[in-house]
Amino acid sequence: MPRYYFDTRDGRCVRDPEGSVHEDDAAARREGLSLLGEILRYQGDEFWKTGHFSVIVKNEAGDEVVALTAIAENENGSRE
Amino acid sequence: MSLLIEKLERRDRLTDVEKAALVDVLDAPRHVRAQSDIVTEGSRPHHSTLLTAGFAGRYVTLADGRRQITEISVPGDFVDLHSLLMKQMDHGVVALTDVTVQNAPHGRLRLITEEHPHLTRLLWLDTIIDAAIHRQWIAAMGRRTGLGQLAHLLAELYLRLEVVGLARDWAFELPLSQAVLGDALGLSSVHVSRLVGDLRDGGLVQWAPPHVRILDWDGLIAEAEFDATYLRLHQDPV
Repeated sequence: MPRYYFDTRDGRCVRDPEGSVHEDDAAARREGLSLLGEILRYQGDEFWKTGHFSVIVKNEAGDEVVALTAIAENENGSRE
Repeated sequence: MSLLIEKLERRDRLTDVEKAALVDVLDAPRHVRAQSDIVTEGSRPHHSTLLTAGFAGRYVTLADGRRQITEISVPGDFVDLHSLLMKQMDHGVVALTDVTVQNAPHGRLRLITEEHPHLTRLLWLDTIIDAAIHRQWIAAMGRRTGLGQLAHLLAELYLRLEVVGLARDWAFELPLSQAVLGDALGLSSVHVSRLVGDLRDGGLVQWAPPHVRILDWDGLIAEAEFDATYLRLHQDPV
């Protein structure tokens, strides 16, 4: 099974040096979404420092499979 | 063996006769390689196993191959004292590092319960503390933040290792990968990696695997909402 890497980014970008194996791109996308939810759940005030949080899924070649981003917006579209 | 006695003596005094009975219950040490099962899920062991070196984990497996580690055992811990009475294992125990263990045949453990009531109560207390650890882990996994969970685990391991002389001056060795820690915390290894970074950035710990040094104990236990009562590390006759 191919290996995928799950970098995360808010104020800082945290590379995933080890990665993990998943059946295909679809399985890696599911894992990425699950990861976004898991980390976001506990972000608390940390999230509001930037108002965004992303999980970037890459394949072994380093190509981006998908980037998932949660963004805070108010009605004016401005960030806190 | 002496590690088990050291741990039990934190809770109540043992007589020389009781110490000798504990020594007599154990077979010779044997080694188990990392990643191997010490006790297999579903098996019916005829002995309980005392961990004397390395780290082990009680775990439950899921259909998709993932696992939840429900307790990390440290040297001086019986990994399955409950198998004496539970008979069939409802979970497995895996060597998380290379480990040394000693078997305690159930027949000899049963003799202890018949001949040494006070020692029996102390061993009973040890299994009760396992249950208390499980309660704290459930509360952590269900309700604490990821950072709180990791901080709680580090505080717990520090104190448990200190009792058996494997942690001191706020430092200890934790030769567990972030994937293994993730299995214990119910979190992904990517998340654990971020949390380790958060603890470092917050000045709470220094962490250069396998070396962990707690820089700010008060800050760590505040983050963890850690209260050591459940580890029952005080003298109080049983």
